Order: sequence, then structure tokens, then C-alpha cells
Amino acid sequence: MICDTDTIVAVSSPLGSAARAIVRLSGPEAVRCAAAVFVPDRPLGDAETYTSRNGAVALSSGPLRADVPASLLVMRGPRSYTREDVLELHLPGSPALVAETVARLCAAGARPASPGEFTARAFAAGRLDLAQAEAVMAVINAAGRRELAAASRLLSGELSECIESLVDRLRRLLARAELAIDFSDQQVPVLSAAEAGAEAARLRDEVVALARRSRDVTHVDGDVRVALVGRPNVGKSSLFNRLAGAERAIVTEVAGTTRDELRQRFTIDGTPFVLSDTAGLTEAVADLAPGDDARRRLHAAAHARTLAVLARSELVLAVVDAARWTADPSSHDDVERLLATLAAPTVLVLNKCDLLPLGSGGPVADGAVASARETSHGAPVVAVSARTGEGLDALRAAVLRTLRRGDLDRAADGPAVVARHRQCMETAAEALERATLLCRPGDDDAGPAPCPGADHGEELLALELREAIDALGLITGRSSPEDVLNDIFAGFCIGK
Amino acid sequence: MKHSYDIIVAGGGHAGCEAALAAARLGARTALVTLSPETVAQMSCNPAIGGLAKGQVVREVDALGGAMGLVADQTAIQFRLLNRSKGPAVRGPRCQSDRDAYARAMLTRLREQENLDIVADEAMRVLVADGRVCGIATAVTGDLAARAVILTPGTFLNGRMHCGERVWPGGRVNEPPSTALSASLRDLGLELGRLKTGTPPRLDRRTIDFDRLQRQDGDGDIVPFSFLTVRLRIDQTPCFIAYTNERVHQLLRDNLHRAPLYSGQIESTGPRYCPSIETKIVRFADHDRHQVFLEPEGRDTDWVYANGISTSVPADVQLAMVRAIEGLERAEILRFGYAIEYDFVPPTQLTSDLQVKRVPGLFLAGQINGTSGYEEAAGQGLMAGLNAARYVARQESVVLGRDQAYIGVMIDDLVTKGAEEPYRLFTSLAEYRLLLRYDNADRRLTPLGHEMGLVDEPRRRLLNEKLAAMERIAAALAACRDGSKSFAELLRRPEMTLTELAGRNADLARLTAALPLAAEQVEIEVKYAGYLERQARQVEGFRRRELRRIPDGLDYASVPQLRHEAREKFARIRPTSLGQAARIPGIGHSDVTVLEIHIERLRRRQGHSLS
Repeated sequence: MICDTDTIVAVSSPLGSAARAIVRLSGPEAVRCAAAVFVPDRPLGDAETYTSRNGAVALSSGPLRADVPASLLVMRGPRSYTREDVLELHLPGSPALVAETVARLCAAGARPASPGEFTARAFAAGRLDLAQAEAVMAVINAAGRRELAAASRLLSGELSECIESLVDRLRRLLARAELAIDFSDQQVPVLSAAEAGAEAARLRDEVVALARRSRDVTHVDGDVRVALVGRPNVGKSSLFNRLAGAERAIVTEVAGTTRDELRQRFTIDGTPFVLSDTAGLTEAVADLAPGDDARRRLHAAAHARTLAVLARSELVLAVVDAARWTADPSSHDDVERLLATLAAPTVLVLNKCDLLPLGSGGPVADGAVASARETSHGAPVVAVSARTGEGLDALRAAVLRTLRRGDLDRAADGPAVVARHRQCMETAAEALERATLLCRPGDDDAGPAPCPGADHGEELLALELREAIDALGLITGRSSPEDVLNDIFAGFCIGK
Repeated sequence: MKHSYDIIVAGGGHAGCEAALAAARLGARTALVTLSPETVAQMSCNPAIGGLAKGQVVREVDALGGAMGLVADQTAIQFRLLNRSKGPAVRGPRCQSDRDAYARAMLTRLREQENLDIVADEAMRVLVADGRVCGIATAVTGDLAARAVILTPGTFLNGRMHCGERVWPGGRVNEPPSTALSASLRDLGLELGRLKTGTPPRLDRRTIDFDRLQRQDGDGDIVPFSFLTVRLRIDQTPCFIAYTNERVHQLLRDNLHRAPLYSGQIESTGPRYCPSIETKIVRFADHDRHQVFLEPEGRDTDWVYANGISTSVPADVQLAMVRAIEGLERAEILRFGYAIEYDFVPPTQLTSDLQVKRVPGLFLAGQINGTSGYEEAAGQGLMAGLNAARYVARQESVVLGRDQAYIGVMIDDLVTKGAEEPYRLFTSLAEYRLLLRYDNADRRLTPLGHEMGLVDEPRRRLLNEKLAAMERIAAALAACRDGSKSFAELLRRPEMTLTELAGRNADLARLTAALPLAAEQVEIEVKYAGYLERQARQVEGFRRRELRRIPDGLDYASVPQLRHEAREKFARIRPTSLGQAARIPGIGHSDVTVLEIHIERLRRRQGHSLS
């Protein structure tokens, strides 16, 4: 809500290949928070508005230690964008460094800004006129969607599954506590303090471990995610090896060699990418022999994983076999359909051009490219040979062009989103720590007192569990009191 | 009898009684229209008042000057404080009532209430002129004029009853339903939904073998409902617990094809927290027995309510089932269990003062809003009575916040989220549960009730005395020391009690003995101290969001950039604050921010035109 007056922080520059990154703070505590990471050459306290301080970002403890030159721009309220104290920290554009800096600022009391919150504050402060209000709303709406997209990218796969399963277990524990409160007059299983405490402690440990692991996600996230996709045996893995410059993928002539997603980092002109190879898209699951259930399952799982990789990719290289394409373009309806549905920008790659009559530079190849353009839904088309390396430079150039055409503001969301998520996890871990203490018997002066006559204060346990669920819910979507009741009704025989 | 009133209340159940009493107390000339005055304030379901969350509501009704708590205290035959062994925030007073005595006592109150007429008639139609309510048409008396109408028809709205294959129209046993009123609401453009509830068979006390059942007695020290009831001594009547068994379950399984719930005869949704016995054995097939609470319906009656085997299977199956239960082999059934389906008005069509959005002056309370429970009905009835009186007097409506009362939580849930099944309160629905306790309902609500004119001087004085006593006790706790620690610090220890500390200091002993209720509350607040502060901080944020009002009649089609789904939901629910907007299911953070900026933009534009 824009009436809030706490101090917010966000990364306001695109990351990736940028040399410098900008971390921005706004609010009454901005100066105090900045002092937690920035060591200025002269005292910060008396910095006048629109002056800057040179100094260093110093991270002396924690997983990332750093002492790097940086500068801080001070804009005192009310003569600032939001009419609050606004600070801009300019530092080297390393995603890991930026993420850690944001995390430290949050630890010092800043809150990761919601999508569009700086702009919203500027509007609330009267900085933007009425005519600009609609534009502000558009920004916020888009920022909200972008953050959602960024979050789902970050969270796809292991991390999101972990959080969802943690929230599930928290809810189950909460349901047990609420059951003991709201249905205590019925035949319901008792929740013992020992049982509740043990589960709360396990959950706390897992949330802490997850917060630690989410740090690693940051490092990957400065990179642009590129996926290779196509039917089996069109040479995706060869192309993977070419682009990544390493023989990581096993290449065989047997269609369907790649089952799992393979990942490798590489750069083009300094822009970092992480390339994913995927199992070939095939509709052949249905064609398998009926008895072959194991293979069918394997196929289905590989297929699902490929779709998941596509969902979180920011650029897709759709690979087809140039010879087969030329012979019968209609045989690639499925690829065409794929191109039409993909949200991410796409480059259509005609591979194995060396096998075309007259080679990859010849008129047959040119004709293939021209016909492919007609059906590529506007995606650029490049003819290459992964085997010989021909056309690879053109492909790299097409990748960069496509990216610059598309919006790359996602890069700024990555670390900001991760910082928000990590703060949520820390809040959850703290609540679970308190929950664990509550369930510990007989500790006199440790923590707040349970209530007179309470078994073990289920209502207090519930308060802490709700706080943990709410915090994690900010990552994956809210859980409401009705959800807990649903769990109770589904799992226990209630009702007189 | 007059033919013109300020307020007409149609329906004499728990919602209608509180609504009529509240409106009349506020000086509105009020009529309570009920088919038969002899059956006001009936307990159609179990003969008990209160319970978890519900007990808090009874105390809230009482703190606001309502009748339910006093009548329940007056007619109770057993008291139990539920969750006595748990934290005070989740305890709930409950009593077994003498059903007939309760209804009689409530009728007496209605008859003695100034400004209130009881009209024995059937409400047929809501009359509207110039888009506002102007009265009701009745079956016998003709048209009755009124400036506001409160409908509290309970399960009578197009009621349809089921017992086995037998289906008949009715609102309660031997009482006809109200079909005309349903049609009238539809004519007004209201959408109606349908819900289901059920009752168990009532047994003859003389045919029950109590020696073979488990006895459940009332509490030694009675915690009454009303803050006005200082001390209560009654002879308590015990309840008994029986258990179903595999034979009972097999019998039901064999006859499932004859159960309306499973034969397709009943289509509407019943409450999941109160399933029929046939539902329990299907959904929880692994349970080998279920509890049956045998609750006497009064002191001088042979009727016993078999709580736990609510059912609509055919009568022959009911009898066989009951007699398969240990201790009930000889039991006779005085009334067979039945299910009832009835119309309700999905409550998202109401504003937070329980007024129908499209018909100013028309208020709804109780089961018509999709709730179940006498207490829920009473809470809504009181608020509808208050707000109808304020509407007639052209005063601003009063809405209790989620941080103020369970009644506030309930009404906000109803108007913001609707009701998919009969709604009842649980303590887990209250975010600020530690603040909404049974012990402090007077402190939370009596000042407001007094300001509104619902609460009389003696009640207000009683609260002032309690508050003063609390201050004195708290001061004494801070002043008394044992070594380096104050008594207040000592009291924070889990095993320490105020009684023990009072034993160490004569002053404190005198203070706590003078007003035990004040002492109890001080003790609770000291024990909960850190948590209460945390909840208070949460409430601050909540209030800030509630204070951000959304202008009446905001045209959501004119808010640019709003997602289609958000636009549709906002337009339908018409939230009054940004806080409420955020609670609508499916609404996200950025939807609310977009709305907020739009409102800010409107505000500034108006500022320009004013200057």
C-alpha cells in the first residue's frame, strides 16, 4: 500500500553484462540502512542533498565477503523522487554481489520494494501529475506480472517444489493445532507438544537450508536462460556442444539420447547465457508399444521436463533438420505450433545444412531459409551446421539481436525477487524458531510464557505457524484460514 | 395495532428477536412479524447455546446490550467452559438450555420491550417504492408500511424437508414454509442459492439406559454468558455419551440407496463441520465408532437430543440404527431426524451493514445470509437492528472490524467471500484471535454500544468499575516486589498464578477478591503480554488499510489498467476499503495498488475542482 512509510530497497538497473549496478533506497531509514553496507570516505550523516560519496561496499561476514569500490548518491527528501530520503548505491554489476548487498540492506531494516512501489510513492508524494497516473498504473501492473514471471522462473523446479511442500507441511501442522482448539470437544487426535515441537524444528531447519540454497539461484539468475528445443535427433545436443564450447552432451545417432535437461554457461560478446539442452519433443508417446509402460513413463517424464524448461526460458532456439524441412515443410506442423505458442522470443535454427544438396551456403539452403521465414511467426531464421560450425556466428548474432529487441528488464528482477524471497524465508524461520521454543517444556525464562493452564499454548503455536505460512505464502501465493479449515474437514471426522 | 412502523422485522428466530429488540431499544417503532408468536426463539437444532467462537459471540451480543446471554443464563440447565485447559483466548462458554424455557423467556422480553409490537402474520412480499423499501405485504393484516425491513426467515425460505423417500414443503416440523417471500426477493433482482442442514432423531428419556452410558457433568464453577450475571447457582443436569458401532454403520451402508443425501434427492450443500451420520460412515469408513451426545432438551421434558447422528434416512432405518447403539436398545424416537433444504441470499449481495446493495432499507440477517447457528444469527440480528435504526434516523452505519469482534469477522467474511456452505464461526477464522476473547468482550464493545444507545447506564457503569479495578490490580502488581522482581514479572512465569501472588500480599488479595472478573482479565493480559503487543501491531496495519476508503459507487469500468478478473470482482463485491478489496479471493497485490492510485487520482482531481 502506498501509504506505507517504511524504507524500501530495489535494484533499479538491468544486470547481466552491465558494468555497474544501481541499488536504490527510499524512506526515513535509508541513510541508516545504507551505512550497513557502505563505508564512505567522509561521514554520511551530513551529506547534503544531491551530493555523492565515494567509498566501498564492504561485506565482511556471511557467505560472500567483498570490499569493492562503490559510490553513493544522496537525495534528501523532500527534494527527491519520492519526497523521502532516496539513496542510490552504484556498485560493480555482479549479480551475486548485488543480491548480497540487497540482502544486507534488508537485514538492516529495509524492505524489498513491491513491483512499482518507487513510482507509486512518487505519485503519492505528488511528484507525478494526473496525466501520468495511468502510466504509473500500467507500470505497476506490468511490474506485477513481470515479478510473477521472474518468480516462476526462479522457482520452477526444485525450489518451488520445496516451498510448496514446506507450506503444505506447515498447514498440516497448523491444521492439527487448530483441530485441537476448535474441535477439542470431539474425538480428534491429540497433538503433543513433543510432536509439534519436533516438526516445527524440522521445518525450521528446512526453511533455513532452503534460504541458504536460494543464494545459489541468484548466481545463475544474472544469466539469460536459453533453451534448445526440437524433435528428436535434429542435432540439438551437437548445437549445445558448439555453443557451449564443451563436449558435455552425449551425441549419438540414436534419437532420444538426451533425457534430462543439461545446462552450460557461455557468453556472447560478454553477455552471459545459460544454455539448456532438452529431450526431443515428440508426440510418439502414444505410438509406443502398449506393453512398454516403463518406456512410456520415461518419455512422458522427459516431455514434461522439456515443457518446464521452456516455460522458464527467456529465449528459445527451435531446431529443425534442414533436409527434412526442405523435403516436406508440412511435416513440421508441431514445431510451427510450438513457435506460435511460445511466450519467449524464438530463433528458428535450420540445422544439418551441410547435408543439403550444394551445402549450407548454396541456393537450396537459401530457399529453405526463405520458406521457413514464411512460417516462423516472425522469428528470425538461421541456417547452420553444428557439425562443421558453419552459420554459428550468424546464430550468435541473431541471439543478441533478438534479445535486444525483446525486453530484458527481467534481469533487474532476478536478484530483487531473490532478496524478497530470502527475507520471507528468514521471517518464516524466525517464527518457526519461536514455535519450537513454545513447545519446549519447562524452560522458565526462555521466551514468552505460555498461558495459565494451557496444554502447550496451541493458539500461540498457531500464531507462529501462521506467520511462517504467510511469509512463505508471499513467495508462492497466499494461504487463507479457509484453506486450513479445508484441510481439517478433509482429514478428520468432525461434527456432532 | 398500528399499520405504519419505522422498522419491520419478519421472522421470530434468534436473528429476528435480537434485531427487533435492538431496533426498539434505539427508539424505532418496531414490529416483529412472525407466523406464530408461540414459536419465537426456537432451538430447532441442539438445545445448547455457545461453544468455541460461538460463546465469544454470545458475550459480544451481551456486551452490546443484546438479550441472548441473559436469556441463556436464565434458562440454562448445564454450563461448561470449553477449552478450559487451553489458553484463555480460545476458551468458549457453552450451556445446555431448557428449550421451552428459553423460548418463553425470550417471548417475555419481546412483550415487555417498549416500542415493539408482535404481529402474528406471514410476510409475503417486500414492498418497494422509488427504489427504497417501504414496507411488507402480509397474508392477513394487509400492507404494513415501514422505512426499513429486516428479513430473518431462517430455514423457512422455500423450505423443503426430507425424511427418507418422504419429501414435503416445510420450515420446521409441522410448520409451513414461506414460498411467497422467496419469489418476492427474486422479483427484486436478488440472486438466491440453496443450502441444506439436518437434525438428528429426538429420543424419549424414559427409554434410555443411562447406566450404560458415559456421564458428562457441568462445571463446578459456572462461567455465565452475561456480564450482568454476577453469580449463578443452578442445579445442573448431566449429558450422556453413547457410541455408534459397526452394526450401526453396516445398517446405514445397507440402506444408503434410501438416504436422500445419496439417492440424489438432496442436491444442495450441507455443512462439512456438521455432517450427517450417513456422510460420516461414507467419508470416514475407517472409523469404527462415532460419539453421540445425548442432551436433555429441558428440566421437565422427556425429550433428549441425540447430537452426532443427524440424519435423513427413512424412519425405519433411524429406529433400527438407534436401537443398535449400546444403551439405546429400548429407545423410542419422539421425532425422527430430517434434512431441510432452504433458499438463501448469497451474502456478497449485501454491504457490511447487512443491507441489500440494490434495495436500500432492506436488511437481512441469519440463515438467509448463508450462516448456521443461533449465535451467528443473533450477532447478525443485533447488527441489522442497529443499522436499520440508524438508517431510519439517517445516521451512518456501524460496522464492527475484524479486530473488534467475532461478529465483525463473520460479517466481513460473508459480504466479502460469500458462503459456499452454511457458514459458522471458528476461532481459527479470526486473525486477531488473542484479542477477541470471551473475557474482554465488554471492554471491546460496551463503550461502542453505549455510544450507539444500545447499552444502558448500569451496564456501562459496571464496565467502568471493572476497568478501574483492573488498573488498581495492575498497579499493585507493578508495585509489589519479591526480591529483585515485581509481581508482574513473576506472573509472567508459566506456573505462577495471580491467586498465589494474592496469597503473598493482603492488598492484592483484597483487590482481586473485590472484582474477580477484573483480576482474571489482568492475569490473562499479563500472561499474553508479548503476544498481545504483536497482535496490536498487526491490527495497526490492518486498520490503516481499512481506513483507506473506496468512494461509493466507484465506476470500475473507468479504472484503466485493472485486470478483467479484478474489475469484475470489485464491481460485484463493491468493497468499501482497500483492506476489504485485498481480502476478496483471487485479488492480488498489484490489483489493489492500481485501484489505490486511481482513487488517489480521483481525490486530487476533486481537490483541483474545489480550489
